[in-house]
Amino acid sequence: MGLITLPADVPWLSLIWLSMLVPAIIIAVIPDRYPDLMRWVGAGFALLSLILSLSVFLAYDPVKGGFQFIEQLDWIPQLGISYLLGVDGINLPMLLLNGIVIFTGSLMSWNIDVRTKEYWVWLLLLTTGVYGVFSALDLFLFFVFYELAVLPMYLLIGIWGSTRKEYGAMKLTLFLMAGSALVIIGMIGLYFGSGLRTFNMLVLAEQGFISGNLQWLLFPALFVGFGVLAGMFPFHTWSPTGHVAAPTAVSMLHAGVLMKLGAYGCLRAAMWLMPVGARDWLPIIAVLTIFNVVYGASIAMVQRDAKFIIGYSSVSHMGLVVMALAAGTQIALMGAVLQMFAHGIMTALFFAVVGRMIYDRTHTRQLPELGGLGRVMPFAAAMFILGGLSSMGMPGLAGFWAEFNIFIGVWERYPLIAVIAALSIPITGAYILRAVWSVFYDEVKNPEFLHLPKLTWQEYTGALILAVVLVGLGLYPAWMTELIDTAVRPLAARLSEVAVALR
Amino acid sequence: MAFFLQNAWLIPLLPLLASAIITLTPIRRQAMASAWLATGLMMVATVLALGLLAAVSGGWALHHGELVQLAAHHSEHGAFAFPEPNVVQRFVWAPTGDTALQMGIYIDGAAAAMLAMVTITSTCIHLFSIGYMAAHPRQSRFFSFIALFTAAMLLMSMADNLLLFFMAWEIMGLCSYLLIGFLYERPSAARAAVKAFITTRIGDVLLLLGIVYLYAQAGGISFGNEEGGIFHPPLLERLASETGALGLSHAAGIALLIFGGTVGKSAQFPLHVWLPDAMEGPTPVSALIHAATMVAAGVFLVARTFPLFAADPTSLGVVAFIGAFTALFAATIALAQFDIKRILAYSTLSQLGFMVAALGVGGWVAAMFHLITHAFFKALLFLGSGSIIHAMEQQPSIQRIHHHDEYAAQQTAQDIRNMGGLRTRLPWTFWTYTAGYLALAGIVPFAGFWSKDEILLDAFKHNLAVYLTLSVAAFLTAVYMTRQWWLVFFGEYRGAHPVVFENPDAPASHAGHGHEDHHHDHDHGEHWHEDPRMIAALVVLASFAVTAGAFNLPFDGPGGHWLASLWGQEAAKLNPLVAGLSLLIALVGIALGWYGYRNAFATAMDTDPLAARAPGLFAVLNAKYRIDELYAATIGRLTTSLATAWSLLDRSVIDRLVDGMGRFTFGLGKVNFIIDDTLLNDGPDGLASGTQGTGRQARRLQTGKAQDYLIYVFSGLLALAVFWLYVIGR
Repeated sequence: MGLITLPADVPWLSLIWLSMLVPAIIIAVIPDRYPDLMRWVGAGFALLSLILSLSVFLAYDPVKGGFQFIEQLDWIPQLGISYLLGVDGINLPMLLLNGIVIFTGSLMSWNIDVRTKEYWVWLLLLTTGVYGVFSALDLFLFFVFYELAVLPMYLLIGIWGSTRKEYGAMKLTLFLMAGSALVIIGMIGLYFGSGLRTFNMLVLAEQGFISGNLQWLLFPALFVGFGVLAGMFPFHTWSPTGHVAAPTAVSMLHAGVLMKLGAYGCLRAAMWLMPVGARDWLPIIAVLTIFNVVYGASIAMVQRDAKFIIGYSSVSHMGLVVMALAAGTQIALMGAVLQMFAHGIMTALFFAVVGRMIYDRTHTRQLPELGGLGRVMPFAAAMFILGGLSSMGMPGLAGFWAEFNIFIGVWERYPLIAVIAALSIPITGAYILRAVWSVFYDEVKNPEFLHLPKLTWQEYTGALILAVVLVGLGLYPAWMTELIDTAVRPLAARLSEVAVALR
Repeated sequence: MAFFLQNAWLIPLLPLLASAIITLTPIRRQAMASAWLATGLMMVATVLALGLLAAVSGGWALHHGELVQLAAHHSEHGAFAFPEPNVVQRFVWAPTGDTALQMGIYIDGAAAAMLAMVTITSTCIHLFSIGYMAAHPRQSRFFSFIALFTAAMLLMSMADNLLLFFMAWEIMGLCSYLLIGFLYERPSAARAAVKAFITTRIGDVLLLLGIVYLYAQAGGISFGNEEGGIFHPPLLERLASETGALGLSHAAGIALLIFGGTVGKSAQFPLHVWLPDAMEGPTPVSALIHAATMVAAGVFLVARTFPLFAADPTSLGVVAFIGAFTALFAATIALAQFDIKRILAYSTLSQLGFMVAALGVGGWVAAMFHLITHAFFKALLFLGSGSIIHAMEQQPSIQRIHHHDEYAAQQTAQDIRNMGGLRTRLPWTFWTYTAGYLALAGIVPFAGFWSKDEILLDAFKHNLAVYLTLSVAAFLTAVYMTRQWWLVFFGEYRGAHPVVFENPDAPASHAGHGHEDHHHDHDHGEHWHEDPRMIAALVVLASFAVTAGAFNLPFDGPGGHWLASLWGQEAAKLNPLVAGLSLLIALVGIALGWYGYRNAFATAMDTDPLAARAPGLFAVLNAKYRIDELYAATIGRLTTSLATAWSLLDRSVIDRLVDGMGRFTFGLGKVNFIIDDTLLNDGPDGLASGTQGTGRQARRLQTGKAQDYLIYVFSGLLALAVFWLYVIGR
């Protein structure tokens, strides 16, 4: 039994992504002279989508486990394409994450006054795509939503961004397109290779027999294709540049949610459907992720732009996610999903502070030019420190549980890699403390910064929601881990069965 | 009795509550209210902890909510084992893998003793801080932090598993960071805070890996002798017999990783560098965190997981070596320092080395005994130094020199060369400080004598090299403490013409300015003052420094071996030879210290007698063997240059490579798209409109209208799918 009961005959998952598509259309027809109306509509529907995701999250029955809230309609039956949605313990937390980030992100978008209408339309379309990916169980549908999420990103960064925005936007789009190309190859290969001529992942996973050789060929295509989006080394360079260039809400969605799409794709499409390929390729991927984790963290240590620090920190933290996926044990997968959620919230909080509260007021993010902001906006300082502590894996915050599970899981498969990856922990401490010190506590470099405008209620509300989730998950992780466990347990069993059977 | 056992969980909760109330309610605007709230709740916690200690020492235990009397535990010779705990309360926290992670409290004699020690010292330090921090604008925040720290330390002492232990441990590390950097306007304090955090974090990572290793091997991390606990004898046997990495047994591997945490937190060589710098924090913080409790937590960690260490002697050998080396190494540095707090800091390093070495030679009771006595007398010494510094800072001569630079004033006030003759000026401080000094030097019957003697006895029995090293360290302890005590309290007061601290972080004009003012020093007004709240704390701690040895006197009969029986371990009998030798060593050390320094420093500018005799040696010791500089030149520089190099690599090489590839692909794509778009879509029209049309098409690509892109992508996809299905797939 879930905590609450929802009527069964309502297509809840469709409602979630529709609750983003509908306001996009509504805002498109609102006349330009009512920007506030657009904001209220956008934020209101974002809240609605959050409430819907939360309801589904609470109504999910962890005892029964498996896929629930399944919706299935034929779409193009001749091609084996169907409209198939469903959630389990892996994508449900992701839906909730997306709801939290889009709602808080829309609160952080209040000050966008250039081409307001277009901004909101693209933002909402982007989120529609993300919700769609996290609930689709048909590969083709998955891909359609995926593309829907990627394209608005280009425009959002290109038009409303900062710091080499055209370059950042173009680079991001190219990388993601290259990833998409690999994903298409993998998808089509699965379609034919399974002999089932279907994109239905449930069927592919249960009945498809994909020969070991084909899995060996297709696995890297799908894993790397999605891995690009997760910032996998050496395909990570788009992510810091993209983070830096994007406007605040888009950075939040981008680092907070979009990178998780990649990791989720790796897990759902590559590892779930092709356990044999996973067995052969994962050790190599595990080695690559060391670069993400340690190399990314140490690069963050010498950055001068606060957003670049967060960008490289994301590379490092997402590296831990992919590393845990590569370990593939039950604890590791638990850690991976938890880290996806925890990092999503934490990094959204970071970008809200740095992008919205600081940059929009000071118009600089260079550490040597900032300083002493803790006195002017203690709230921003507290929020940044909270995110930083979670990033460092401080107990009592969400990041700790994620990293603890990841390190146990990785140790079970690759102890040496776990040891090397642990180097990132003190390095993370170093770059976070450096950022906190130079932004908030060092002496004030620019006296104008002593008279910055006050924070708005939207900023307070958004940051507080993120902070509460971060602390809530840190103090009592069971509300999420029990749910995740129902999904990663069979998945880990499936991976290890194959490894044993074919040895 | 049942009341104290059932409500043990309240002990860490009370200071946590104080911290939360101060942080979250408007009471934080009332500095004194915050201070007394925190102190009051600490006193209640102390009462609870003392009640708990009484219940535990009476052998009372709680089994399924019922009060029962535990049978007395007698440890057999050979394998080390903990007695049955008195209270274990657990509940499910989070499912992790196949097991559910449990959290809870685990109270046995060791935990009860720790709780009592921590609550008593913390209460004294709270009380002291009310006086010491009275003038500080962030006083409320200070109390909120030290209350949070105390809560974490108490939680750690009663944690029932290594994960909870680690969580509390990390929160302590955070509080330590916050409190070292409490005076964050001072750049040196901010630097010291970061240094402390990062250095201990290196140890923490090793500890975390140790916990992970243990979890992977044992499937659990809960304390306990029963099946499922990490002290379960068959589990320990298995860990000790199976070989893991580097030819070490699992037990040794896990134990050494855990010991890494101790090396960081208890500031053992080579991670000791942070502790002396941590003296930048306010003095009560130095007393609480960097002398009595947090740094001792590393020792408690080894003591708590001791069966893992005892399972394979390899790890104990390393522990003994590091401990003994640190004890001697730090004692030599303390000989040549002038800052009153830094001398005490190096002394703390050295004494922690004694405890660690004691654990390494198997002296579990001796190490824990010394941990407790040391906490009392070292907290006393630090608070005493705080009282001295507080009084020195108020002196007109020092105020005048540094009238704009509070930091430099404090540094000048901490220099023992500038003191002298304080015996009559600060009598309460003098007498209490003397009690702490004699306890540290190891004079019978003060607390330190008994516990240090027990360590030396264990070393004597099990490892002669460790015994000799520790004896030399004990001798040096007596020498440097006598030097400090003599220079501070005896002779003439030298503060009227002090050695002036030059603040490297302050603008150059400041220091020069101070000197200019210096000539009209006819106003020799000295204003000496001891704050009664500070004195009260000193007196309580001094009484423990005098009497704490009685907790574990090495005699049979009433009062003898109380701690050993509380902890269910074998009691050590007095060995007249070892005890006599250790007393002799202390007396000779004191005599030498007095002889060397009896006439030293007629004025503050004089040369140290040791520096006069052996200038090279003194310089090396005074520069702390230049280890900080070594680290900065090697590890520090390596890390920074590597990170910079990687950053360049990422931006210039990988990025360029990828950009180039991207540009190439994009160009190719553009060509393809134009062909595709013009030939396939607009084929017939395109032929008619010719080149002009193509140009328009290409421009349309870049209009930024996303609906176009969407349509292109979707239609392209569909086309691709159809192509695969009906052309290639057949």
